Amino acid sequence: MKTKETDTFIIQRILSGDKSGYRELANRHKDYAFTVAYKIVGTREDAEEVAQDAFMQAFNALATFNQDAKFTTWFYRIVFNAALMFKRKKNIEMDDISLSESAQKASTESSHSLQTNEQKKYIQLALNKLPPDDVTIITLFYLKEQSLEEIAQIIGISADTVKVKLCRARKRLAEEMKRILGNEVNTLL
Amino acid sequence: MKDEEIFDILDGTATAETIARHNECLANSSEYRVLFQEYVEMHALLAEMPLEKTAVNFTDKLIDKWELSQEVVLERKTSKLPFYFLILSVILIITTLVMALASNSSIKTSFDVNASVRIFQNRIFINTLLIVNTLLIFNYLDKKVFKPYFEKRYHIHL
Repeated sequence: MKTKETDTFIIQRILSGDKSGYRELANRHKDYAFTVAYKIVGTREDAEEVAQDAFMQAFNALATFNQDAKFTTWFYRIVFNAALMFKRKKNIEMDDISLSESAQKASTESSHSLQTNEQKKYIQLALNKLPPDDVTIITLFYLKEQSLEEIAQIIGISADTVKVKLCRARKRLAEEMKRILGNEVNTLL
Repeated sequence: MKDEEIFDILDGTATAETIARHNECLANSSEYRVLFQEYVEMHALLAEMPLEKTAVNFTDKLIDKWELSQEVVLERKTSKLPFYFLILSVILIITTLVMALASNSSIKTSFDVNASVRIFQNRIFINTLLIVNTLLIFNYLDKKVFKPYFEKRYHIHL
């Protein structure tokens, strides 16, 4: 609630002409925006571009933001849509060759040598195989900043559908990880 | 056990009845144990998913981009100036033509015109008036159009 009040306060300052508010707003939400974008588009460079674009869109539309609503819900919807547009525009698809190379490399290494970074890398590879809305649902759910209702608003579906999609998305994610790592998945995890 | 129920257990929202069935499956099915273990490990990895950090200069770049976009908006707003210039030019040309034609007209008016109006029939006066008006228009254009345009374009203050 404190966050909501502070966001609203910053927005009011911006709308009354205080330009320093833009920087504060960006600093407060850049990491979450970047993380959501990164999980969808898959690379840090693209995620940064998407996050910047989302902020620009949000700044431009700030006057139309309903200040009774939660800023992050409104803003993450912009991030989600920006990432979706970016992905469509660039027609990003995971490079199957690099994917299989990574999997082969993983299978030749001992399970002990695979560090947490490797595990995160494979989670990201598996996430890249999921549809953007599934990735967003998983990301927002596990970042624990948004409730199911808020995630539903961001994606533009009902809360019940979010719950069903979350379950299916996690199941698919487990399957993708299994597919990427083959039989190594159990020992890796 | 349905996948949904397994995730309810992981999320801590399962009912007592679901948990009881889950324990029964764990005890009796090795296939279920493997599946559950996979979900547990994936759930743990996702729960530890870190918040990614942007580049250090992310905000600076964003603010620069934002300020630049605002300048573009400003330029777009002032981009109507050539249109005004065109309108003024057209008015000037039409006025010049009308006045020139009027002064060269061979048609004699039969009615007696007032002395103050008669001065407009004086060719020298009309030419002087035209020159003064032209100078005034150019002065106005210089101040309102050309000077702001070149100041903005070259970021100098004349």
